[in-house]
Amino acid sequence: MAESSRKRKTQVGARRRRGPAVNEPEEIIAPSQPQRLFSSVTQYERYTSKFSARDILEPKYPDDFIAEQNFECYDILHNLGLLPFLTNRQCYYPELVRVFYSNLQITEEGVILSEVKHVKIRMDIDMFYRITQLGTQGVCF
Amino acid sequence: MVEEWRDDYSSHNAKMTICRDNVNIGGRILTGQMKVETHILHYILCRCLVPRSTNLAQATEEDIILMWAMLTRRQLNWGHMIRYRMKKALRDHAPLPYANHITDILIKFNVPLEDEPFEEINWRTGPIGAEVIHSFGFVKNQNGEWIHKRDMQDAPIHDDRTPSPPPQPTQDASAAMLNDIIHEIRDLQAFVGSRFDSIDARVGQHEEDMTYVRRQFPPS
Repeated sequence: MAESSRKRKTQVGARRRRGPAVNEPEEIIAPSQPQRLFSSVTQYERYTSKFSARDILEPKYPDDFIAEQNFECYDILHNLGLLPFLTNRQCYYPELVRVFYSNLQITEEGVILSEVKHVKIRMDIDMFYRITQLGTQGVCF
Repeated sequence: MVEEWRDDYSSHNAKMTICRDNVNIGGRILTGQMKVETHILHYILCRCLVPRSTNLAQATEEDIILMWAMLTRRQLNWGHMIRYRMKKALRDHAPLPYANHITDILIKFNVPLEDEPFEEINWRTGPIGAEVIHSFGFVKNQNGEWIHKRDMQDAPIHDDRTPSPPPQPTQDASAAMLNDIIHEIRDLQAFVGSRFDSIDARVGQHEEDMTYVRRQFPPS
């Protein structure tokens, strides 16, 4: 999947509007202390070449106003069990988000593997459910 | 399209459910054609559930299927969906989703977070609330229903600003005068507020249209 998408076809158009860095490689932003974040040179190099300059999609959440308006769609989201996930208002750590994705692998069985600051992360489907409250039942779209 | 839904799903019917009655359903569906409920659902779908950075003003075929599945209360494996979205983010140059949820994962695994720079969700652009719904072009009418601006062309904004008679400078009238002043301020607030809402909604609509047009005709 990652191999075939090297073409960057769709992203080029998207980036063009946001800034001048269109067809150039991503700007290299080196973290101040690589040993703090990474446990190997490979990790560090992947991060600096592919992830250090990534945009982070701004987190958003439906606020209390939506909840108070008796919208049917809000009931639907509630009944589907999506509200705990959607109303997450946690802060975020931009650099660590990039490190997390830089080291991320997701297996065929849905196990999430990564490493951040020398801490190995291994999350199977049940654990992912416990953290996100997202159901494991239903159709896989 | 998943096998389980193939028999029940009709693209045309799904679009009819998603769009307002009087809009023309062509090949593609723009968010400006949606009902207030489905517009909110679409907004949450492509900014929270399966977030993306482009093509936000249009409902893709996938969006329509997902919205249809939600509206008809079909159970979807959302965990699978979100993991798939995370995997897609590994493509070169893709923006990274679910930043706030990753914090929960880091906490769960006791990744040391003290002294790490963090950001709170933007207090202005993070919450999806009244402002967002107004930006879709919807306002609440007197019956408490959300009506799209384009569906209320015959209802001009009530403008009732006749100058009030000069207040009588009698002593016992001072309380009434204060009341009058407060009323006038409230009227003015309501008037200015609704005008701004209407400008806001129109600007929001133009922004969405522009995003769509830019995407269709990228500068070469």
